[in-house]
Amino acid sequence: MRIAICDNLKSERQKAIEALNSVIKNFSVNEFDNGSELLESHALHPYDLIILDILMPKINGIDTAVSLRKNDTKTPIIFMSTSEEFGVQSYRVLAFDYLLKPIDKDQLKACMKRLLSQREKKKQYITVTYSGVETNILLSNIQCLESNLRKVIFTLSENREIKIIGKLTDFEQFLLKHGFCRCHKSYLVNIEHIDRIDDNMFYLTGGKTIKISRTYLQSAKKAYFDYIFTAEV
Amino acid sequence: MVKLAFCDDDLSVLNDLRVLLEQYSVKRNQIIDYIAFHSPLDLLAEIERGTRFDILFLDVLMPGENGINVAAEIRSYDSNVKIIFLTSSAEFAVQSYTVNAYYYQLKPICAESFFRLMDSVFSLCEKEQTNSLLLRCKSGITRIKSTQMEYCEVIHRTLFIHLTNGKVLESIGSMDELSKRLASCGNFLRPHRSYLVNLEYVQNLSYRAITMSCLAEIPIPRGKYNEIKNAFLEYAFQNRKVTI
Repeated sequence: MRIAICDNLKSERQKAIEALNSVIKNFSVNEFDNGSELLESHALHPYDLIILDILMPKINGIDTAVSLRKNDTKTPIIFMSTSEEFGVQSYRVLAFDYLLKPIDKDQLKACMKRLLSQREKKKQYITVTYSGVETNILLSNIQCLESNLRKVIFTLSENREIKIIGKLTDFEQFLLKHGFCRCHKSYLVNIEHIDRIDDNMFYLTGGKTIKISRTYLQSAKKAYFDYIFTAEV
Repeated sequence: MVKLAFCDDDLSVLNDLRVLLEQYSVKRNQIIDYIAFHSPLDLLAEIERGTRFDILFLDVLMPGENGINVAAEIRSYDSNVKIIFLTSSAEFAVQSYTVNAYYYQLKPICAESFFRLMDSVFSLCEKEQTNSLLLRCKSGITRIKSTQMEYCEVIHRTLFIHLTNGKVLESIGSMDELSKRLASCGNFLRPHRSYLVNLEYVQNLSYRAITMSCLAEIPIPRGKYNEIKNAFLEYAFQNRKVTI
């Protein structure tokens, strides 16, 4: 779960992270000390949850939320503030919750429980046309893609292979945003299925080995290491 | 049909709301079923009697019982009702989050704001009502979307609804009744008199059983395999979508 915390005081951000650590696992945090930077970042790569302080110089939490809500009515916002003053206004920006500082861990726990239960874990999939039938392939079932002449071979779990007419670039943009990495002119690999890596090879969970070409070596290794160090453990 | 209630100790407020609601009803051509309560105790009594409301307008400062506490009690019966606080004081806004309020509106409310609020809560209620069910379970009243239901089993008069997230809800009722309620959905199949299966989550089909995504095995009665297989294929081709 990707969480953004915005508070002009570092100590407050730390307290919030500590509180989150005590009630949930499997999350990553991006810290911001002002609303504008948060908005920019969210626009590029949206967060699953935004925790906003309200009293901040330049742009306050409520106004940050107003800006956010212009383009995004879905991302949950939790306000954390020392002041009760903005309660009524918080409803106008569809806040998920409003917690008073210092944060009560039980209250945060109940809030996160409610948030998680509402978040339907949408199983991610990609839609392709397979033998004329529109087929959804669960991303977690795909080990890798290989381009071969005018077809793309999808290697699925249990090393099952299916051939789809098309080019790697047809799927690349989408897959790169969903945990895949390009390691070779002809290969796209699902990082979740990488068992291990050595000099210039990825070893996949199904036993397959994929060569990493020199052009992609640096970016492929970076993508893999980013994944291991920030992903849900 | 959406059912609404308002509760305020101030009669003039109740009257104003009544007028606004009538205006809204005419403007949007919607029949709204509503009851006005002068005292929160009457409202609670009605809910304890089993009456369900979709939307509640609650005052906060009332003699005797505070609206937030009333809402907390109502939540123990019903986690789905949309609670809108309508009050002269901003003081309880932050607290209102603890009872999962839909909105916190300051008095006096003008027609424009009222209409906007009603539009938004109404469309939410309507969206929820399609393809979802209100279930009276041991844990209270909850709304479950048909996409959350993997399969259901009935043992005597208790329905066990297995959700995709692994939880199981218990509700008193008959499989015939549940089956009827889910009929409009088109995704559900009754392979056996004690089972209702969501075709979206069928992983495998064999002569003996249907295996669900959660790996539960639903028995197939003798001789029904072909019928079930055809129903499944029809579903898959109708949606022209298959998930691997």
